[in-house]
Amino acid sequence: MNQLLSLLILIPLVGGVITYLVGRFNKEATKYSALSISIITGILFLLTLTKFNIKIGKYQLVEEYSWLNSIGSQILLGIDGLSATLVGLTILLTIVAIGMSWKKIKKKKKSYYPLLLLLEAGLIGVFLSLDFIIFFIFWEITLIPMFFIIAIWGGERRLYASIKFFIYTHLSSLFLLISIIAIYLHSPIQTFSIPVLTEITQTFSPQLQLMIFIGVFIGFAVKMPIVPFHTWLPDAHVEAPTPGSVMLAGVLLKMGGYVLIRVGYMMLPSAIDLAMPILAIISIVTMFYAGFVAMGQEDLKSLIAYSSVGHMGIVLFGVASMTVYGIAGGIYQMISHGLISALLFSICGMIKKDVGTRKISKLSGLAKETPTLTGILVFGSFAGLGLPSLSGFIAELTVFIGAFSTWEIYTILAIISLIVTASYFIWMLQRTIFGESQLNSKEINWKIEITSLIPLIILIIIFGVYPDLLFDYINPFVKLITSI
Amino acid sequence: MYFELTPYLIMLIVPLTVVAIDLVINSKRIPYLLTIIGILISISLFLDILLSGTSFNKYMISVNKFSIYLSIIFLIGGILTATVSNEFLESAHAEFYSLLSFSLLGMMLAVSTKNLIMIYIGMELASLSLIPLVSFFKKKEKSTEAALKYLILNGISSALFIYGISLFYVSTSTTNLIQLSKISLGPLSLPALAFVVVGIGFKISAVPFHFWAPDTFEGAPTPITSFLSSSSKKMGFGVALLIFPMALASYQANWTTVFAILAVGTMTLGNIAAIKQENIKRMLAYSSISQSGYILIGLAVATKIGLAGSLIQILAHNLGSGAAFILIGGIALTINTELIEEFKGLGKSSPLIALALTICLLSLGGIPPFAGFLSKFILFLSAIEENMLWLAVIGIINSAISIYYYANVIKNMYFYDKQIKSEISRPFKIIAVFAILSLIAVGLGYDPILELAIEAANTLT
Repeated sequence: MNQLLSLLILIPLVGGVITYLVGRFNKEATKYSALSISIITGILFLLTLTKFNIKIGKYQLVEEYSWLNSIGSQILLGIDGLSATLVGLTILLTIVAIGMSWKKIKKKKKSYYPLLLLLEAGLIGVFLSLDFIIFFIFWEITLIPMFFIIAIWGGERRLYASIKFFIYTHLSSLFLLISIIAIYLHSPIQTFSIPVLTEITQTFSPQLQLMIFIGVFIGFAVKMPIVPFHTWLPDAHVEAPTPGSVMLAGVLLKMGGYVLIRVGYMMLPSAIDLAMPILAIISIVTMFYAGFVAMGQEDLKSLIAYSSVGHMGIVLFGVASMTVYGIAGGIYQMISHGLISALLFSICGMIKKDVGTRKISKLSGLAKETPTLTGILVFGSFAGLGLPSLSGFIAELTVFIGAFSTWEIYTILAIISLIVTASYFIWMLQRTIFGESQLNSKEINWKIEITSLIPLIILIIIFGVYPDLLFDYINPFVKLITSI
Repeated sequence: MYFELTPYLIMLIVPLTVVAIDLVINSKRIPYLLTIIGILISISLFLDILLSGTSFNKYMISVNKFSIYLSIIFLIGGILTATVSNEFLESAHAEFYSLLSFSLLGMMLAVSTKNLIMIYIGMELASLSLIPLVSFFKKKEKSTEAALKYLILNGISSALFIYGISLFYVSTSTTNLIQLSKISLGPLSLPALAFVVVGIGFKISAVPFHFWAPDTFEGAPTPITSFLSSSSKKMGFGVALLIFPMALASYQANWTTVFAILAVGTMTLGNIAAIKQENIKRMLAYSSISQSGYILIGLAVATKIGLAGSLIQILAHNLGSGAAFILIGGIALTINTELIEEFKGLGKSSPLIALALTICLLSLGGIPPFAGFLSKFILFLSAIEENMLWLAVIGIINSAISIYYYANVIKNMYFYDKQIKSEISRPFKIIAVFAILSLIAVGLGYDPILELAIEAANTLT
């Protein structure tokens, strides 16, 4: 069994085709097919983890196949602490997204579930690829299913939002592509292999690294997103269907963070070193800006979308500090935010379905109408504002411990921004759950949806009280890359 | 020993046989089948020559990897057109197919030589056979107008081209490309270069010589539009690739700048004009112009990898736009309109055709894992390698703009709940399957194709 990693990509890919074929005979069966395929992928991932040695930070279970020999590209797959955690997140959130779609997605199921599985395959491919060409192909493949998911199953302005999402992120990826080409051309060896190029780029002059980093920056800044490149995100989120938002906020944004670490930090350390103060300021601006804008949102979903922007700012802040704690905290924050935002977006979709609105001003008295959903919303909000004993707190604490040794003032500013975050969440809760109710709950049976959210809630708590479970995977990797 | 010439011979025999048989039996199927079989045999013979690794260089004919690569591309364009033509034709089948084959022969000859005279003969054979094809629906006003525009502008471009050639001959007393490269052109070099560039500029519809293209593309019968875009235009590029890097290597600094400017103008204007088109054929015509701009990047860079990039972009565009035009033709046959708006609901009524058209458009937009990504990737790589980052950035911005109008078609096909009736016949479905498979196969980088393109580019320098 040395093909574990390629199977992790192939099973959802082939499973998507099978699901489509199943849908031709029985539309109802597609969701069962998709669920079983994503669970099989999950089991395979657990199997991969048993073969994965957590004490080593390096790439493991490497697979190599010959491919485009004439330009020095091959199919190279590998897994390390960073990719293992993100692949795990992808697989978990795909299952959650299928759970959230179970009753809500009613039209064109035949195409919907295959697209979701294609998205999963693309995302796993991004995190496992160790060759730039194959990496970039997966990176772009993820756009296609997301585009269709927003555009077909989305809200009223879905066409505008989907095309904006597509063009924005596609253009930014092309700048990343320029940087990849630049790295390739400056390397003495003709290769696209990320591990080989990582060693070569260390020898580049800081100026050259900085030039290359500009393209990489545009690539991840739009994906993450970082202010002022974030304008596609609120549109895409507000219009996307709930499972689409779960995947978008939960995993697609993490692709930005992944590139920041894999290409930005690991390959171009001198560039980050030079750009450190700028990156710190950008990330602090992102946190404050997202916080204040979130405060003014009328729509619960766009409030959560802006909270995502702020949380990703913390990731950039941690990585830019270039300390062990900062980077480990940044990765922890990616996972934690993946879980929390998936939970928040899911609950937001359920509230909309149940009481018919997402407008915060109209949601007052929610607690009386739907106590269960309100409970989850409160839990998610507290996780989002970084309540101790929940995963977000550990991530933010680690980032700030790391960053404090690099910049004192900036870190204090960043901590102040958390007050803004806390206040918009609390204010939102105050306006929604209390007060006189004018709502009419449809009293929908949420059994399936809530069941699929339970793993998220459990993991948020576990990662909040027992962080070593995740740090065991992250730390060897971070120690390895910071020791270079 | 003349085995290398057999594919050309077959493309000569096929049209003659088609016309001869038509004198005896008036049939729809015989010309159709004969042409397709002829093209298939020709392609397999070319593949055979490739595998055996031989080449031919005698008289005025030169068969090498470059000419085989392009000839196969022309033949693919020809077979795409031939497969569906019977759905459009009402009469005169034999004439249609024989003209198509003659045109293919002309294209193949134009790139299978090292002599300027032969290039001219090939180009004229191809274009003169195409003029009646463009006006084949003689009762339709637009078809006639298209043919007239094509006739006049093609005449002008041929005249300019041959005038340029004659200036070469005056100053060097040779028409052989290899000998030309060894002799200085003297004072006539700049006018000669200018005439040849403008002459070819019309053929490849580079901005500012593109005005005929949208009208001709719109008015011509759709299979012929596909042929114009997938093969006839590529012949112009083939000729440019033959003449400039080989014969005019000593003037490289002059023409690379010209091609860089042409590339920028062609990409940008083609794109901007495509955005506001409501007729899908016209939109694809402008998109085809902008895609030519990418091919010009390779000529502007003029390194081995740049030329290989051009060759792969020629293949990617041949498959993508050739199939897209044919599929649109098939859709237009059943819904009787070419307006993008009327494509609503197509994703549901004919899923295979809609999927294939989507993949063609995504490939043209340069989205992986389809062919257009690989070609653009190599073109941008070559431009950056030669310190022409600005050219790559302009290309990238254009490629993002183009997504807008390609996505607009996809949006109309899939994102509206509308019931339309569309029963698309089998030949179009074959093309759809072929397009999906070939675009993915090239895009996922089937290494031998990439290698062949690089070797073909090597024969040019």
